[in-house]
Amino acid sequence: MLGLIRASLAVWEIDAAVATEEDGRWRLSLVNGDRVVVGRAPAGIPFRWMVTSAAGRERPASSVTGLLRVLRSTIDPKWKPGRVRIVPLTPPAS
Amino acid sequence: MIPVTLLTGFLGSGKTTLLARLLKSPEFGRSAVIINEFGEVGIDHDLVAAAEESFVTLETGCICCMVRGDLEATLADLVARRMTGALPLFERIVIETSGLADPAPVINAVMSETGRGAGIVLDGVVTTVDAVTGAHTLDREAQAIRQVAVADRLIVTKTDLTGNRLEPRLAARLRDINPRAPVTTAIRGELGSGVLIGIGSVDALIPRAGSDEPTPAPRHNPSISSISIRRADPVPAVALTLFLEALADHAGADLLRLKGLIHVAEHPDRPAVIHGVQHVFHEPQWLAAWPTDDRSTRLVLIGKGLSQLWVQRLLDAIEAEVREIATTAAP
Repeated sequence: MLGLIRASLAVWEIDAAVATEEDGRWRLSLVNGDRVVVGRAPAGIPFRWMVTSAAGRERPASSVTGLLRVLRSTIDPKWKPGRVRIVPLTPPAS
Repeated sequence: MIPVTLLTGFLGSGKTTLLARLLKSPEFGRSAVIINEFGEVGIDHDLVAAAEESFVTLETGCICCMVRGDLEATLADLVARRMTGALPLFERIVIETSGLADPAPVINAVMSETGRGAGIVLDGVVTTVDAVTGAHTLDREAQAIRQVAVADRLIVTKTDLTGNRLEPRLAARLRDINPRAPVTTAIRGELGSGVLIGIGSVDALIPRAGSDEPTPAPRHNPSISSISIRRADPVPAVALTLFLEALADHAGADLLRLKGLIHVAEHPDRPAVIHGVQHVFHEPQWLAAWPTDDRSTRLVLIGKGLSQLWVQRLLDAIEAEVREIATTAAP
């Protein structure tokens, strides 16, 4: 996941240093001084990932895809994800 | 299914000349041709003398930005009139775009009609490139780059003006932008018509004997690049859906084209063919069987600012998560 976060930041052209904290979460230090933290969601809630913004706001995500969406919009509030809806890849019955 | 060939290429690159020659060949003899010209008065259609059983229809205006709906209607209308006998029993449709057109919306239009059950299927995208001016055009015209990037076949025209050879600079440029599309040369439209038959996107994903080599990395790091992913293990359907969602989220309009032959874990005997153009992903087609013994998943992505590392890591992470959830949920 750390590799994906680093590769994503590069694709998004966001300059940030990424480090692993003692509790296993990943800390993103942006060039403007903001720090965003990414980690697994606490047990007992129906989410897998948690993104904590520089202001301390926590936003959950239920999948890797959701995590990237939350992370990018946390770092860049003006960013909007593509509007396309993907049709689920349902195999034929026979 | 009636195959549709999309013929594109920048202004003056020889599309109409090539088309005129093709329509005289037996393979293209029974074709319905849609010519798009930018401007109120069309000229190109007068230059194309169709065979007796072919016919030409004309769309004016820029096909990519104003007539996508009209193009879909035209395609549906052609097929409907063919079925009722109002039109000759054509065996192929050729769409010649204007030289200024972005081919992506046109590909979308054809695929949308396929999805609606119109009985047509995109056979392939053929892009003409001028041997003399092509490199210069690619240096200054973004649309020309997009036309080359989405091609299944590249036809370099007018090589009689370059000593019957492909200039190394142009060859390198084409390889950089679209390393997978075979390059063929044509002089005054002379080309073996078989070169443009059966170039479908699925076939393009099936390696020819001795050609299954890694794609060379772009040497000049052009803004538009081509990425290929191959996976031996089957991909869970939900992982693929999430992967496409993430691509749509973050690549959006920069993803010019995506095509893939997918080994879906839940349906190992029937590969899924997927197509995406910019922000539109089309419903997958399920083949009746694997075309060869090679059952690996193959994906090709062509776009601006794409990163092989990111795409690879994205799919890895999503697959790992889906498998982890499946393991956790298992009784």
